[in-house]
Amino acid sequence: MKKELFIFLSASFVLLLIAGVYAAGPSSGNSNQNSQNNTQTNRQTNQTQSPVNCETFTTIKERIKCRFENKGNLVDNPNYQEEACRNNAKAAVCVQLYKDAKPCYELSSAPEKKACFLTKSGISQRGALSAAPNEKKRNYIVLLLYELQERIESTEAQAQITTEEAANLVALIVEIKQDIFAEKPRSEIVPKVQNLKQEYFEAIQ
Amino acid sequence: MKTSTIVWIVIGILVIAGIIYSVAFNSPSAKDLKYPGQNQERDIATDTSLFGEIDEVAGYLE
Repeated sequence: MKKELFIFLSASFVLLLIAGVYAAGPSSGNSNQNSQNNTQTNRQTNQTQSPVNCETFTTIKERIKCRFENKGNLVDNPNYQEEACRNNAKAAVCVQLYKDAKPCYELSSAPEKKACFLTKSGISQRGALSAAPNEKKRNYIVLLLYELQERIESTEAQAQITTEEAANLVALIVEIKQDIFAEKPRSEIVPKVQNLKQEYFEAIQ
Repeated sequence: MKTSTIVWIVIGILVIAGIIYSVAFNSPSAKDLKYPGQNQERDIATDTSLFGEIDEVAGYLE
């Protein structure tokens, strides 16, 4: 009986090992992240100045522009909070949403990323978006806008748009996200999204 | 090795393989990627499609 148990456990272990190797495979390799890290490293190598504190600027756009200009040379701030979560009645919800969705941004496949955003927003992948609760739809837009923000940062890092344009676009995104967390009505959010879209495509052309 | 021993090992392996299959290959997210549901129809790979998704959800806000 001991021999049978040993063989059974050994076979189980081998199967689990194979499954573990398979599951670990797709999570590796994020070209965007690597490219951003490389860019950041390149910028850091040229730095001889003391770290910059962008929090001293009063407007959102100034702070964002400062972060773009001093990427890799910023003061380490353990209490850093996303701009969209600041001065916000739902700050805790906002911070938690970003924290929960962080792994989604490390996915390289667009369908997987979208599925991840939907899940983290609390929306069923099989149901209709229109039928989802309003709060979940707001979460989902915030995550999509953050994805856009990441793309803008990447585009700026590749010098395809200017720092000024990137700061302007991210400031518009932050404003929309703050409106979403403030539960402003669709009539106020939709025109801002349209304006963002227009500014974005003008900038990247 | 006894026949009963081999039978038990085969049963054990099948059970474990079944569990691994159901967890790794048949989870709701994996299924949805293979057979997209309503919320999986549009990709967000391009900037245009990402804005399309944002526009659509914004239009559904109350």
